[in-house]
Amino acid sequence: MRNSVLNGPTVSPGHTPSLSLVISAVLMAFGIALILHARYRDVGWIVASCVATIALAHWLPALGVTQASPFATAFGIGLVTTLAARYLRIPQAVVLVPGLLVLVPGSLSYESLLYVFQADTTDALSLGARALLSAILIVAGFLTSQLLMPPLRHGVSA
Amino acid sequence: MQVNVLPTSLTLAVGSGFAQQLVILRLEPGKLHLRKLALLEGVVHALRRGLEPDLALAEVTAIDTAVQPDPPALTIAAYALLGCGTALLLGGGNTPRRRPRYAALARLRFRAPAQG
Repeated sequence: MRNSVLNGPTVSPGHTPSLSLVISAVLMAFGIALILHARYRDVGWIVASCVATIALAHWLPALGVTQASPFATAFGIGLVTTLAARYLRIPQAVVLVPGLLVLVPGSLSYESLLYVFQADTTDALSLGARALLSAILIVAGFLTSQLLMPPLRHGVSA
Repeated sequence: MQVNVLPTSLTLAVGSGFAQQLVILRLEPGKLHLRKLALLEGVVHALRRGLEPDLALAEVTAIDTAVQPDPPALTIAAYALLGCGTALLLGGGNTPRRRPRYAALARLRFRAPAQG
């Protein structure tokens, strides 16, 4: 008997309607807020971070930024995080962590594993390389944003 | 004082020159807790504005001990929300339901042995 989970249809992000994207962002934000024990007053910022991240990640490829989409999205979220911490006094982790959790290419890794179980090593390696590249681009985008706009650091006299 | 902070270790150098004393603490990595991080950042801001170190230390201890673990039902609900959101994000729920072409014929075939 074939395993329907391993041989079933694969995930296909990119064909999701806008309403589903917004609903998914809100649901994920509430889940992340509960799992990471956020304060009630920070839930709104977590929702905003998730919605902005998903919107950027889905609209940038539509604007022609395909390969560099993870880099640009992480760069934007990093800038917003620093600006929010600097001017609105929001802790950096409150905005940054939900954005990064949503942005991490879990679907690519999942699909790569599915292809491994289906003995399709070519597609598995291709998707695995894309997932690795996306992860590198996310880190590079965030580090670049921190380089351009570093968070304020005040020394504490000992 | 010089401080070197890593996710799993803390190195403190107190003093100057050859009289410097070094303290190295090996730490266990903890779970990410946004409430604790936000409260801790508040203490850091207060410390920069002139809060006494003893009071800041007491506040840090209070933050670390006051937060209670969530009930399991809440954790399950949180993962359910996260799973629903991820499923929607990956295109779940958009597949049109396929109806059998010859549904009426299939029903007839199913009833035939009972009549016989």
